[in-house]
Amino acid sequence: MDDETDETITRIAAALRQLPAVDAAHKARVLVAVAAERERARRARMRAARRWRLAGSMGVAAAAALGLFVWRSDVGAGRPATRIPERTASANAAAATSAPHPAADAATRLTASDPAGVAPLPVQLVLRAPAAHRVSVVGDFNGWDTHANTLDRDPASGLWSATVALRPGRHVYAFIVDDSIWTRDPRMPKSHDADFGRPGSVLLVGQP
Amino acid sequence: MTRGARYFVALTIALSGVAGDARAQQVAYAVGAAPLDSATQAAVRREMTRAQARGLPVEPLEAKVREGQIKRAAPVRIQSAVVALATRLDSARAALGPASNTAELVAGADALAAGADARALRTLRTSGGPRDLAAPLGALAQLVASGVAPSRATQMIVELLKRGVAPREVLAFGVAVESDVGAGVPAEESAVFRLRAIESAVNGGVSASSAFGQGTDPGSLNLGGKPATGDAARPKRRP
Repeated sequence: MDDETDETITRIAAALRQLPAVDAAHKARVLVAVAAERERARRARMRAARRWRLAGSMGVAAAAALGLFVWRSDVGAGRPATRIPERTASANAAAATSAPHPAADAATRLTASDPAGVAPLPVQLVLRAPAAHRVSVVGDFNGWDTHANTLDRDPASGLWSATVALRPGRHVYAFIVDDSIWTRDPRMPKSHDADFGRPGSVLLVGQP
Repeated sequence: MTRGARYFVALTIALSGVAGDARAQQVAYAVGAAPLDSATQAAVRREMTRAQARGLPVEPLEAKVREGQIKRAAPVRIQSAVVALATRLDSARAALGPASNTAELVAGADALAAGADARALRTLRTSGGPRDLAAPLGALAQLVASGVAPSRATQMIVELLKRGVAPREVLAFGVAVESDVGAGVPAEESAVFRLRAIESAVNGGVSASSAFGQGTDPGSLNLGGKPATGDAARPKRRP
């Protein structure tokens, strides 16, 4: 009796443990939405950081102007000159280089809004680069924009990863390590580059 | 070898390992957006205006300029790459039809760059009908890039389209061949083997991707890894 009960309970438990089937297309849509949300949050953080930098640079500029005013007063008064801080220019330059790039919008148009109604799929790109300080991915899917998709670092493993929404098809891409080193994805096939002679990697993305 | 020399060699090897996994995997290129001179800028702008007037999408041309800039290509090379891409987009549209979307045109232009011809693109359009051809064109480009003769690659993809194989499985076919070629299998041999595997899978009512011994579920994330094609599912490497 006990054995039968146990067997029944085991069967019921096994049936209950099984997860319901999930439609792959729905799963893909959820993952795309999550990736898009993360990208939106990242851009919001970048915008906030830019505002802070701008505010900081304005503060420095104001300080510089005050310094200049004091210096001119000093010079006028025959006192030794003080140096003008050089941070204003570099702070402004940093703000200018991190300005939003139109290529990102073009890439979004190419991948997200598709006239053929083909949904982009989330693809996680991973690179092992423990010594790197910054890694981004460039490719035909983001208009080769170095600011469009940066990778996040997992401190434990030293792996850098980003999930990008890609239209089904063949894509060519590469990683840029520390804004200066062109790095192919070692896990993927090498692309040919007849135009510029710097091959990247090939990624084939399927569709439901 | 002296003891000191041995230490030196061992230390060099150890340091080169530490120097960075990413850099060890490929040639390190310096990258950065090199600005275009005004003459090249004007020439590229003219080319884009002409392309737009012909009804071609301009985004791929803009992307080509940025690609060249990131790769620090000479301005004249960027200009000729833009002109060549505009020509390929033109040919792709002529072959695929004026109703083709941007992704199809870009995929068609890639296939042409890989070595396929306009006839191959026309054949795919005829066989594929109005369905989105970006994925099959991507598979065609990859097969040709892997070393399969363009006419043979076209024939194989047409065969898959006619059998109603899903586009993702057509792509999985391209991935499997690429993986075999990477493992030293001749491209044509791999393509024939893989095609036969798909045909028997389709005839047996099984998903074609199961013929590759790999999960191609689009919901599962691609971890940037090569498809896990098992040795059992792979044609034998030629000695």
